[in-house]
Amino acid sequence: CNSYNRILKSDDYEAKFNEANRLYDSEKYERCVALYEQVYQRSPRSPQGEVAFYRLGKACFAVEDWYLASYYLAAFQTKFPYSPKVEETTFLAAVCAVQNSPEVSLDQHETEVALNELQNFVTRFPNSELLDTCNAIMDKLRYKLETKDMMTVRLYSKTENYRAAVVSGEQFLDNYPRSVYREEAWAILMRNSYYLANNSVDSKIEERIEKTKERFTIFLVEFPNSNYLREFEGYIEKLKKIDIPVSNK
Amino acid sequence: QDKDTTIVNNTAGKIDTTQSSATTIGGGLDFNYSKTEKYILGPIRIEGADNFDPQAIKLIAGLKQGESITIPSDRISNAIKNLWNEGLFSQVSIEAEKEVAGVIYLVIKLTPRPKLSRFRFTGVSKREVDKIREEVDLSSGQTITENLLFKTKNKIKGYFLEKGFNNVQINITQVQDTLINNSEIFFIDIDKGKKVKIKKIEFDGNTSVKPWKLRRAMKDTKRRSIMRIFKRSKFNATAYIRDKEAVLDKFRAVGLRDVRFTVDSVYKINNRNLGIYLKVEEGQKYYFGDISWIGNTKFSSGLLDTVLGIKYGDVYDKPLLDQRLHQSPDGRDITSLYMDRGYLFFHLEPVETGVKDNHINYEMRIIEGKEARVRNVIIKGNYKTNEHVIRREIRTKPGDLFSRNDIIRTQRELAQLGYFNEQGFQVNPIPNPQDGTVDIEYVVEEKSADQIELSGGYGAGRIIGTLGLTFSNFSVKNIFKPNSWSPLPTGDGQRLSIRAQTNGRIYQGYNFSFTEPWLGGKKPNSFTFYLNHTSFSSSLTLKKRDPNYSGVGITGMGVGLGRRKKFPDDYFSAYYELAYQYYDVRNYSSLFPSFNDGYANDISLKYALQRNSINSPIYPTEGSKISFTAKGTLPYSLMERNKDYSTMSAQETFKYLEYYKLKFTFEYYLPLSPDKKLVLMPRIGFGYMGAYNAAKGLTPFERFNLGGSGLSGVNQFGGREIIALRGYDDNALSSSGGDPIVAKYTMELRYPISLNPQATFFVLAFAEAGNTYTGFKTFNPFNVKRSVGAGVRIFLPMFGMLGLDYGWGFDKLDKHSSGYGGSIDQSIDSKGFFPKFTFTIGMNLGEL
Repeated sequence: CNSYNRILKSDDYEAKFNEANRLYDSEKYERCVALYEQVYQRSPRSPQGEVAFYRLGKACFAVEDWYLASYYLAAFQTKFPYSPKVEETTFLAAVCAVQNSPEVSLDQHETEVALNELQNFVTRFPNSELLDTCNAIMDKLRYKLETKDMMTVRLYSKTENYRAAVVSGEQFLDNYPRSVYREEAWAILMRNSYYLANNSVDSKIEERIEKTKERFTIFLVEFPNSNYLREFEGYIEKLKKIDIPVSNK
Repeated sequence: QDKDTTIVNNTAGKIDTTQSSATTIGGGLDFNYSKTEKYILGPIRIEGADNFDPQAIKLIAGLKQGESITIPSDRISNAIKNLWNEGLFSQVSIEAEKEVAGVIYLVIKLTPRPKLSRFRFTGVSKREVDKIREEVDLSSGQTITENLLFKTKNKIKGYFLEKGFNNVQINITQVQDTLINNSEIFFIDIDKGKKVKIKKIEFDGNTSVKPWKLRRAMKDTKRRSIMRIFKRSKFNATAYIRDKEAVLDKFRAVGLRDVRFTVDSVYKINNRNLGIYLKVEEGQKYYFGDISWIGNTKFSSGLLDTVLGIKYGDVYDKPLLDQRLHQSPDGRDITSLYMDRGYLFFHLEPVETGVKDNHINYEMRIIEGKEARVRNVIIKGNYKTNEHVIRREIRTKPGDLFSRNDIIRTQRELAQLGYFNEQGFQVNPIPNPQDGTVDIEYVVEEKSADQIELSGGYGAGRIIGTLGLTFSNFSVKNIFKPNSWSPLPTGDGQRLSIRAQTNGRIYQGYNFSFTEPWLGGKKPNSFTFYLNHTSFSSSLTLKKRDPNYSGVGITGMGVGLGRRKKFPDDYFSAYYELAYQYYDVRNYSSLFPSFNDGYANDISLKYALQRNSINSPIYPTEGSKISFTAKGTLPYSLMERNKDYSTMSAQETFKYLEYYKLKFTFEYYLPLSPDKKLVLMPRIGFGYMGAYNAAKGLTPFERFNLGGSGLSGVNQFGGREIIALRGYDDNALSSSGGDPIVAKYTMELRYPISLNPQATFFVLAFAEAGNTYTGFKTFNPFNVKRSVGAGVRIFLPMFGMLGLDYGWGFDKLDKHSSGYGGSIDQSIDSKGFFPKFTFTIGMNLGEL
């Protein structure tokens, strides 16, 4: 401990660098950070500075300080653009952003940042070995955003805001043509479309019934064997029985 | 000097002359600038920069030994540029020393700029020096440039000008620091001179507006005066320009729209005084002429005329017209009319079509645009609170017509949840004109909604300690998710509160309550569950088992269901509660004179109807709150008739308590000042408790006790309802066992000192009156005891609302009051008033 402090306070940058390397190699990441910082600040553009900056990022990554790690790792590529480590740091910076991505129910700003960073990586290193990993992570993140939008649709349906559920359901189907939630989104859309028509004011009832029927036809094309068919057919039958007010015709 | 000052023997020899004075390449070697040649870079020597890392300089220059380099080329000029850009050197040159077999030896010659080692201020006091230090960002090690000197002087000057010292003189002397190489010390001498005040502000040529009104319109330019305490008289050039505009606006508001200054002069009377002379040319007076509407299909011109409220012949007032067209504080404007009905793309342009006899005709050109419907509702900034908690409260839903009013109301309601910083809200409508939809983005800023109450106090001769925790944004669901613990699981908007208070054996109180605001997630029906236990004893040493033990124990639990109502309007809410309370009274007569030993069961049902439209929970400035509460037990005595209660013991009579209780309160917030800071709050409250059976009599519990701080009366305490009346002693106005009828009237004038959500602070003056009555026969709503006083309230998010009031009571107490003939009544008799300090915790002083 004493020797560590002595080195930390001394002016011998060679010793600082060596000690930091020793600590880094023996996985004492928290302690080597301070030394690497000093080494980097002393000679930011030297080969030593490059190693120090790279390892600062890696050490923070190792101790799961994602915010700090993403700062160092993301800055590495601008500070040392020709270093052979750039591919690794760019990827790790993106991984940090992925780690910062919070639960689905919270603000997904960090998820979008992560997606952007991964996209940048893919564009920049199209031949990287990590490409498949990247794509897998990106799929996961996109699934997260998709789930969030689906939760919105579910919420409007649950709180019986028929029109909001219909509008957000249609948005969802538009935005995610290959989602795993498609059938569920359709189910919510159809159900709320029915309720909306059923509880409609006279002036809008005809339009809404027609719209529900139209939606049912589209649904049939996409899911001809759906388990929901019987339920929806029931709705259509009921809607057919509604007398459209004369004033409307 | 022969070798260093190389003379370039070629006309094109100067490579870079844009910034540095000596940037040459030469060094005794001849280069043919019409023909480039390749060399290998040999070792590079650096001259004149002993304090810099040579390695770093080479890196900055971008020159590396062993590289091949073409000379001449832009490599050298770029190297010079890069070094120059560092701003550290006053001279930069690169010279070629020699060339041996294709290897070229370069020298980088640098003259570093001096650095600032220290700086001192003279001529001003130490306090001012500290402030100036903050203003100027000088630090040792900074490179000295002309710009640095200039900037420093300007900043100091600006600092003093702001304070009204218009004649400030600054002199910076640079002295070589002999201790540190190539560095200088700044001696900054400031002579701030005399403070200059404005002695006279004179207006000339004004006939329509009085000079005092004009002087008042000048917000930051004021004459000197002994009475001027809050705003100092000083001259600030930018404020002066703003204030002149405000003066002109005063004329424009009375139809003089051609008004202008013909003379505008600020002159020096002497070293300490300025004078201002403004000569005005008022011009002609104008009136509104005909106003016609074009392009309106949704609303008729007649309706628009009514909303606008400006007629032919009204005095021309541009600000009023703008207000009525675009945004009026009371919501009465043409833009709101459209914006609240989906017309987001609405556009209005007032065009002056002509002037006839000083009457200005207007043509209002309206482009209504499509009705915009909401497409997406986006929520951002929720790093703790789960999205559904916010989304379910938002009134603008996908598919709805765009409405500005809905957005404003949503914003207010989100603020009332208490999870977000009220000042940090942002609502951004993002229109998509191509398909006539709009996305609405709500950006929230999370704040800590948790409160910790840890307090110690001194009461009844012993130290009393309280530990309370309230988590307003709790999440039961997240208990098993370790990530969401910060410090407790958050995000679902549930409220959990735990509180314990004790001073050892004499008093103990425990509370637990849990509220889920959206039971089942479908409708905003809140569910509450609570448990509490209080016990107090008059003896320190005796245990409960002891036959001589004297004390009361009260254990209660209940479940409640709250509903938001849509009818009569959606500010209404209802609350139902089923509660059970068990009283265990042992030899204790001071609280309940008619029931000093035994136990009692209280099973009650409560219904509360409330209409709440106040706009902010902490410092309301508008809105009102009305509540009606009914609470009662079953009328057991009516079911089992023919019982003679006169012969029964108290224990038998009150084994199952029976009573009914009605309460009504109304409070109103009325903003008095235009900025809505000064607020008047009147409040009235009545309470009545009755018995189903006169023979059985009033229950000894649940009665009203009035007087004092009501500190222990945030809720029910010890089976009594304790209500504050400042300016009197605790419980002084009621019988010692409480009374069945209460009336209270309050008037408060409030003004905020700070509306910062981290520490809201306001002062108040109050006048209140109230009394309790032993029965209907003695009830007289005008027989009330009055008091006046003033106080402060401070709201800290961690601790809740704290308050301190000083009040004077004026009236003699009634005979039945427990304070009658005591210290209050006697001092009221002798002095005519009774002064008292009152300390409060919590939002309200009791429920009334």
